[in-house]
Amino acid sequence: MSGQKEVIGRAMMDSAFFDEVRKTPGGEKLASCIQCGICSGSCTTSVGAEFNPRQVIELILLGLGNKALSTPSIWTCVFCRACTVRCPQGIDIPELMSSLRIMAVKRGALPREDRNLKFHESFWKILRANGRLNTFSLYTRVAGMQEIARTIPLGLRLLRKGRVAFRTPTMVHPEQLSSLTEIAKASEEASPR
Amino acid sequence: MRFSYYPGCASISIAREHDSSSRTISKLLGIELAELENWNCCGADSARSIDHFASVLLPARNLALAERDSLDLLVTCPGCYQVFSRTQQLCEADSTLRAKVNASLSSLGLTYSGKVRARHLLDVIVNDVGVAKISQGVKKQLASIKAVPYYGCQPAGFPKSSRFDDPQRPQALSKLIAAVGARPVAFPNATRCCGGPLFMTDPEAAGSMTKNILRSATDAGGQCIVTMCELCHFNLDARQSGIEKRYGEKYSIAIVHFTQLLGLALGMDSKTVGLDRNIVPFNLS
Repeated sequence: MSGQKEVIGRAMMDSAFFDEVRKTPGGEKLASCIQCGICSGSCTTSVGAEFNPRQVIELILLGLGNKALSTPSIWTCVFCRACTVRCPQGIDIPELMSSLRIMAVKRGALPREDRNLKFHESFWKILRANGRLNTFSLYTRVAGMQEIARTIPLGLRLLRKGRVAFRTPTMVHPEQLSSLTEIAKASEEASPR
Repeated sequence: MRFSYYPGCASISIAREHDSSSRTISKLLGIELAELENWNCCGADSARSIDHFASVLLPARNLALAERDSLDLLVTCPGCYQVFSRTQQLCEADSTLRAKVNASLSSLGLTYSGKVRARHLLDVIVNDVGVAKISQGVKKQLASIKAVPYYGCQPAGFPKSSRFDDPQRPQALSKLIAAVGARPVAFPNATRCCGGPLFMTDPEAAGSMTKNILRSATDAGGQCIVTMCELCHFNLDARQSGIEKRYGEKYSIAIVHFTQLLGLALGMDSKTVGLDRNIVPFNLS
């Protein structure tokens, strides 16, 4: 117990992380969190996760930035907002989860082979290249060879049924989308929120 | 009733039958759809995990295209619908953000002012067309079918301003099921996540969520699960046999898009509503 106290004690002395998160979308009302846990009680995906939403917020309040950014728990959110419609303090937890993910990616808090990172970065790449998502292409980029081999029988069945397709319609001139996101990036860097 | 129609990426890949049945029933109910020209992916859960501004800008481009045509944007995927609602709300609350969005969109000759709204097809059918009109149009009685209304996890995020449904206790699917003469089953897990968004990143956790929905729907006595989300449908339908093997259980429960159920009731044959694409067969007898 004394060891744990010591860790938390040291972390609390550094409030820089907390201050940083407060300035990101979803972080505005963080200081008013009363740790009631209704977010966790409402959460439909964090049952087996390392930290539930209340605990993720607790990590931020305690200034445990490395832990908050490296835990896979910030990637289990499906943005359903069940937590936020009930939060008595009006904290936008899904928006907070997005901000933590963005920070985690920017700081390289996740190993290259991290599955969540691979999923969202692959999705993002396909989106920018085609303007639209092709699920089959996403799956083959995210799943390992063994896994793909295991799902071949199902895949063939889905192909026959027309439920997956190697090629799907893309945007005309998808490059207008990548130029748009480049503009977005540039303006973001020029005038951060 | 005329809308700009946003199919979304699921409708061009894993759920083409949802796209075709949405178009067919819309026509039948007098909802005119003009597909949004050269629409782009809304960014889903991924854009907002990588770049905040881009995650607002991507849906804004689609809304701006609809605005150019002065038509509300009709959406069938609840995930896309929530993404559009988020952009609407963020731009309404923050004029600086809206100005930044418009500065970027101007490179494409587009403007987003917030004039047009995203609407979900289920909302339009239940609230604009109305259940009374649906009941009148029923040609095939589905009275013997016990149907489980399953919304998936997204309704809590539907915008309050839309008055679409109660975010915590949605009723739209039950109303629709009753309107076509089938029997809606009381279902406590109607808004729990099916695991669909996580099945590529955390298959074990996702599988356990999928199992919970399938098992509790079967326990509730349902003969089919009626979905409003393309991803829920794919997840519960296509992955059902794998989940049965993994957990040593048997469900054999048909998963039906609400558009398919409605189409059948309105007199279309099963092929027209795309039931031939479903993996778990839906037997009407």
